[in-house]
Amino acid sequence: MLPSEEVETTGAHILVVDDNSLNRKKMRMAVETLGHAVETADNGATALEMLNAASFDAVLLDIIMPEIDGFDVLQALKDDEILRDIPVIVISALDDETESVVKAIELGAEDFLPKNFDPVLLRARLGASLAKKKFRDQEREYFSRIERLTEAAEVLEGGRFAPEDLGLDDLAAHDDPLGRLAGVFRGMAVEIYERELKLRRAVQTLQGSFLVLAVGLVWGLTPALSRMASGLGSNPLGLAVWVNAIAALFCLSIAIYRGKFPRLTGREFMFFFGWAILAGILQRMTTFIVTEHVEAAMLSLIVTLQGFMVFGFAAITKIERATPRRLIGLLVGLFGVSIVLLTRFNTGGGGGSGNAWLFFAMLLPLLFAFEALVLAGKRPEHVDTFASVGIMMALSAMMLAPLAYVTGDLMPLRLEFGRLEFLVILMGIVGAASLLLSFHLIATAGAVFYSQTAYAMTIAGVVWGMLLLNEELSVVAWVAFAVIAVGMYLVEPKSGDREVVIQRSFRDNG
Amino acid sequence: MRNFHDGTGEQPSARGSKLSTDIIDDNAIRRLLSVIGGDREDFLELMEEFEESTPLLVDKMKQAATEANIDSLRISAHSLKSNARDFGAVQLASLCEALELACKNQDVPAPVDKVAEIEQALEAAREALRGMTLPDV
Repeated sequence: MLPSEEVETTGAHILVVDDNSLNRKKMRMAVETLGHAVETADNGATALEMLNAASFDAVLLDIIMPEIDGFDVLQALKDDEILRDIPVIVISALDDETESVVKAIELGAEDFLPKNFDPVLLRARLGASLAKKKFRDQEREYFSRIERLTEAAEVLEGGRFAPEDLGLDDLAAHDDPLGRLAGVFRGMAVEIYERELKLRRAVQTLQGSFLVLAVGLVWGLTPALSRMASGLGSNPLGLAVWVNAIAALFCLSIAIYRGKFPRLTGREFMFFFGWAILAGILQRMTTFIVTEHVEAAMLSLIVTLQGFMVFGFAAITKIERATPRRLIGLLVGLFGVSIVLLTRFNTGGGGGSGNAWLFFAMLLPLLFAFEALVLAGKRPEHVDTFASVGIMMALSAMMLAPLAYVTGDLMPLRLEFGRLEFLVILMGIVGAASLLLSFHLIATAGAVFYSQTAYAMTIAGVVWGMLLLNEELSVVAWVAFAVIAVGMYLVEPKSGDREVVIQRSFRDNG
Repeated sequence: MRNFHDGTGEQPSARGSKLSTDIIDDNAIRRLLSVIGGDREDFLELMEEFEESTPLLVDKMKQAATEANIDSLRISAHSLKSNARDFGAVQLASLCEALELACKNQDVPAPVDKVAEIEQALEAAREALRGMTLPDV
């Protein structure tokens, strides 16, 4: 588009600079008659101040003024990167100032106007100057949009497809070819981004679900192993000391082997100390007490409440997304677990638990939920996973050992390798593995998704029964598993904090 | 206070009638009126400004002539010339132009006399303007 008379040039903001008050008044009236807004300055210095303070579309400038004359103003304008594009029309008596006009044009004045101008001439020259400026402004704005579009292409080339990284929203809002190009560009990028995001989320969900199952399966082994150890004459407290110590040894050895043994600050040490009290003492003691008073199936059901506790806390503190979809997912999972447990209740029969013990049993999911949340939000992220679990286990063993010693429960292990020793080592490794998996799961999928391990443990109980005791799996159990899997799909792991970078080659097609 | 007639008063009143004197070029008045969009109120405001500001310019010229400040004399003469042309004060404009040119050439014999001559011409122009009737544009 070229500047033409069709360009709308009314409503501009014009500065009139003249030391002669009568001239200023005349110019103001003349320019206002053309439909523009006018401000006046009676000297060069004031004019420059006004030009720096507000935006003007054109300047009508008298040349002959005392002190800072029109040439000085013109020079200052042209030296200024922001002001240089404001068109200046010099006003000259012309008869004896031809040289001045020539000089002004050479300095960058857009045009000139004789002092006793005809209104048609004023309209034509001011209109042409404003049209050129408008064209230049449009051109500059257009180029800046092209530049931003190019920058967006570079961002895309770097693999970042997120709409907020591209920053094309306002460009796409323009109703012109470039705006439409930006719109198409953004639309395609968003499409790829969302597809990629969906894919990643699906992979994350799948990975997370496998981890949840793995944690459940490993945890699910513990009660069976404990029963076997108990049959070999062990006691719970002494067993806990040895199992924790072996788990600590196992994890710390790996951490040291990998060169990842950390130096802890006092604050970090306190974190691990707190975690050891929570997981090593409070959870273990509560489990011991509760398992004696509440039947296993009921306890499994109660433990699943941890998911809802974590979800509730996440909804309040906003540490994770707490969407209806995730809540429905948790409820679907609970329904699946209930189906499994239904069969157990029937077979278990009798011996109803007292209400007070059921209420006390609620402490267990609360402790699990609290642990998941603390690990999700407060864990020292730079400390290696093996080292973290190892330190916690070591501290918990050290805290339990004196208690076991005092109560006489600290059973001495024999140097010769018997079944009990083998079982203790196995339980140590199983305990370490389940904690390592849990730790990793919380870090990558979040506390809400992790809390579904309670469902997995129920499944694991059934699966181990099937594998070890040749129990037949009923159709109902299979349905229950499917329902739990649907629940996991709905809960989804927390969305990755990491920036999604999509590697694609945009060059060298050949 | 306004001393001019805008075509609605008792004195020279008929709109479009000739100006009261040959000192003023009525074409210039028409052009000025046309430049400001034909608004008679605005025109009267400009005439008032002329009435008030031009004697001040003459005072400046007097002072510059007395002090032999040629540059100041030139700028004031330039300014008054421009105002005189706007209002069609032909003789006044011509005297100012001559003085401005003389100042440019650094050749101003008897500047005080020249300014006195300009003052007289200004007085005549103001007198003529006071008695004029505004033309139609």
